[in-house]
Amino acid sequence: MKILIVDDSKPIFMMVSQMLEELGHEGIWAENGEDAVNKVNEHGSAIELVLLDWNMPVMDGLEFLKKNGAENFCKAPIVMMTTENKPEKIQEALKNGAMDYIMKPFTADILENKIEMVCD
Amino acid sequence: MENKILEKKDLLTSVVEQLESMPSLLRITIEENILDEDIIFSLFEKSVLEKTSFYEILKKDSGLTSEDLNELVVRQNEKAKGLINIMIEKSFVDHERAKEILQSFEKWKQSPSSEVSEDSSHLEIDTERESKTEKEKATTDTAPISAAALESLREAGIDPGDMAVASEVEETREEEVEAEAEVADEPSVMLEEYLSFTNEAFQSELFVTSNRYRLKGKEEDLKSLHEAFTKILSLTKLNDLELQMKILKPLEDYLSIIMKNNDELSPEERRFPFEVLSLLWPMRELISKGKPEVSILNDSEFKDNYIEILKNLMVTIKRMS
Repeated sequence: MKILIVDDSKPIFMMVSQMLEELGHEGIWAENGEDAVNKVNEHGSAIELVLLDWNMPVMDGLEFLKKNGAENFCKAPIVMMTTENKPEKIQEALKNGAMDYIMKPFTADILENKIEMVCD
Repeated sequence: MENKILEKKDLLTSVVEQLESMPSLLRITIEENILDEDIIFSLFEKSVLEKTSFYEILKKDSGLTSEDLNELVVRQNEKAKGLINIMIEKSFVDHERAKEILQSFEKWKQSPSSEVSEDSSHLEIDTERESKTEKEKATTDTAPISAAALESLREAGIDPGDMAVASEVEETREEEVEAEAEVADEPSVMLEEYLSFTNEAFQSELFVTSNRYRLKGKEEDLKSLHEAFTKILSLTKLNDLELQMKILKPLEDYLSIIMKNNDELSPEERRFPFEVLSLLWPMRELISKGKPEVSILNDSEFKDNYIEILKNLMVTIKRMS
């Protein structure tokens, strides 16, 4: 499964990508929301899941969700990667089209469970 | 201890930790769904007004049989940490010693002098902060170790032959239990229970489940939502949180109805758990800051939203039923 990892931190991308590889998936990197829009357009429906960071320069996670809500260019489920689980924030992300969230830092097991849950 | 397997203070520490790990009987009664929430609430209220333990009120006024009651107490004890595990965790004993303890207890159990009742439930009655009943007296008078410890001894074992230790443990446990009794039934404890149960992580997860249910309509999500909202409703009743009760009660009715025809619903019809949850969280936040729930109605946007969701929910229930 091709999974788009949207995070401005390359080390985090590498770490998550390695976990995905161990789980038999392929990670593609986008360094912000705008880059993610381009990657989604480039890969189309081959991307089956998006792991989206919240705070990023240029276009943050919530802006990406809102843009997708308006334009519907990404059909893959979106999981927010976040460092806090404030219900109001989670609610906002879900209302804007995210499917789930995952708390950073996470392990490969947690990631695997989340992927199963969302893609089921 | 008689055979020096364990130091007294270590045993006491372990027993205290075990007691502290045990959930209240009120919580178990709610979780086991054995009584209607209104009844639980009125029983709890009575226990507060009469300054009597919840167990005593359950025994007198709930209509539960002693078998039901014992079952609840068994559940309560099952949720406590195992004594032997605590001892190992705290490095009071190693696995080898634990084995010895088990063997020692088994031996003691088979000896003619051991008169511990086979009915574990009455042991737990004692843990339910009661003055001794006749049944308990019979047990504690003959059992050489405290009821709380005995509960774990049943599964894990420790040498219960030392009467001196037993009386110390019993005394400590009773003090502990009395102290717990003083606070356990106070409304503020229930409020803590409510705040703790509806914590951030729980609410966030519930948002995810509600959203996933809205989108996918999975039955397992519906079940877990039903369970979660039922628990929240019970806790709001126990804390007299009127606004939340008023929206949760119809939500519960709605969930009960849709459990029968889940397959036929559209995402639009499955939106209510998410919407109700969006109302609950701000109210919970106010309460956690020590403000009355009703003060949220000063926020006109919230108020309109509340009324709108409640109205739509009621209309949907009417249509579905």
